[in-house]
Amino acid sequence: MLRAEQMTVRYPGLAVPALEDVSIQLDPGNLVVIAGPNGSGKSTLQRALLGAIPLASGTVSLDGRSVGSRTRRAIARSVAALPQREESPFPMSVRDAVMLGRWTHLAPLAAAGPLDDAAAAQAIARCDVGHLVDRRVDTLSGGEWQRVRLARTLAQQPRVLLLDEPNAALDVGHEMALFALLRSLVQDGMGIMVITHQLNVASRHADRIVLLRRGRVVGDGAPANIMRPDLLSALFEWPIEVVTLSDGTQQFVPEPGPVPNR
Amino acid sequence: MTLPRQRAGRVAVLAVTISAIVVVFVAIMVGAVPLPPRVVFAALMSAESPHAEIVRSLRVPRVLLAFVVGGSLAVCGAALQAVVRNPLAEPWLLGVSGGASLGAVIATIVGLPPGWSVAACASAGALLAAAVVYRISTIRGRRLDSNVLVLAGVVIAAFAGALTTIMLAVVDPFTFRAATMWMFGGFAGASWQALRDFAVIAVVPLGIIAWLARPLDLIALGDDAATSLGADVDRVRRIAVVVTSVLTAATVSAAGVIGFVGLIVPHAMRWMVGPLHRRLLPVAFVAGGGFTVLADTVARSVTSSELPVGTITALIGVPTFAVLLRRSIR
Repeated sequence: MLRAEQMTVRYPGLAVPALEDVSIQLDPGNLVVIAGPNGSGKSTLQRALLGAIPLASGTVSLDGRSVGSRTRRAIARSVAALPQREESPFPMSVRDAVMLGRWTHLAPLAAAGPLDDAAAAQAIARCDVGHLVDRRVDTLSGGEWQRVRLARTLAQQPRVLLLDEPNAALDVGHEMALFALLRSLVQDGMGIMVITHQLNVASRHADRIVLLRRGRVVGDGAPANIMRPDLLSALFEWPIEVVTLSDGTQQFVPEPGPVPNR
Repeated sequence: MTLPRQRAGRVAVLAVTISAIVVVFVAIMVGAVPLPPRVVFAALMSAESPHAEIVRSLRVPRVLLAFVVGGSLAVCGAALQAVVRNPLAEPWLLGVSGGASLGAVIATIVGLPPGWSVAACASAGALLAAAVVYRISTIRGRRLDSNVLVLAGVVIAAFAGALTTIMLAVVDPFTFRAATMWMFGGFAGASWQALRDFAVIAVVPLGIIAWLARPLDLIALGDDAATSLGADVDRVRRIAVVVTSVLTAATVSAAGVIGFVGLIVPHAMRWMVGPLHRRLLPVAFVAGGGFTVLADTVARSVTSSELPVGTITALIGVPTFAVLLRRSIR
């Protein structure tokens, strides 16, 4: 449903493209993980899929129609995205913050109705932030804020979810709960793309892993085909060992390696 | 389910509204001829009553003009703060008031009559200043940087101020006095006509800002978050900058440059009702109106000659701002 073909993105003033010839498809009921070293173009990929940055070449389409020909509000009703960073100088309550996910469904001067309240309440419950609704967002811990932001994207009731390092500030318990939640959303038919450095968690939960390096796709396949020591060592420029657990999932372990001279 | 915070917000809205009504009424009572409430009521009800002329032709239009000008400045401040994601933004800081003031001064010096032509020149000055500030902060096709925008605003405000000073240095004393009116705010020239002129210009920008309430909520979160939540960031920002410029120009041509209202009022109201603009904008309008009426009443009654209203907004505004700043940090 969300499909990018041979995208190239150049930032002004930079000689090397941020993304080069990247094609990616996100289907309903699929969880795709994007991984790669810092600066490999992961966040740029998310922006490009949203139609938020101009493409030097290539196309992005949603249900066969170019995202560029749709309004931002129309896109946001189908595709919700969690950016890596955001900081508002004007903190609000958690309840209000989650309700912002409904704005795309509301006419400019209309008040939120029972449907909006229900969608927000469901999102709040799924992300386990019900006990925080009356708190101001600037009093939350990093992990709590991350879950509130995720609840906001679910309140949009999207068909496609794009998440940029959603587990960055989460403890192990909440990280596992997050991926369990993403799996259940996928089972309900959502298409989800997650950018993360946690390949071990991705290996368990992803349907596909796409590896990016210097703006290019250098690996795309089922976790078992991607979790290979040669591929990962070359990608991260560090010796990496891959072990197979009793349930068959691969986990990667960085080796002590040489004296760093990078 | 009613939340304690929402209930507190409703109490705040009620308190602000009642205070504004009281301030407006007291402002009509106060003046060279003090009038008791009974006399004011009588004058409002009947044109035949003893002090009807003072109340109806002088005080009511002045108080109403101060109210709508102050309300508009507060709304401009609230919108600009969201757009540039900086609680220190206001029309003065972004150079918009300076541009408007320069436009009005030029109009006066070349001998254009007050009213529409001055308002048009002020709008042109405000839009030109906003365009230059906007242009400076979006170099090489990159996204607008809110810190650069504020810095550019300060620089353009200083530049417009310098140009205005140079122009005033070469004109005759009569033109000088007329022109300085645009630099130091005041409502001495208020009339029903001035109120009508202002209302005609202000109604469309105010309507558009209200229309943008939800996108402004989103833009305050940052460009990436706003985009993913359905706001067309560049378009909303451009529209908001244009309409706040026109609205600021309207306030400058009606009453000169009045600082601090656009800074303190939205800040205080955000603290009381939260940052969502559907709630914030109307409350800020009422509070900004009440605050400016209060400042004008003080300006025309503490000394035998009238003080510029901007001095009073600064005197009340700066300590209030300092207290609020400390509270918000704690």
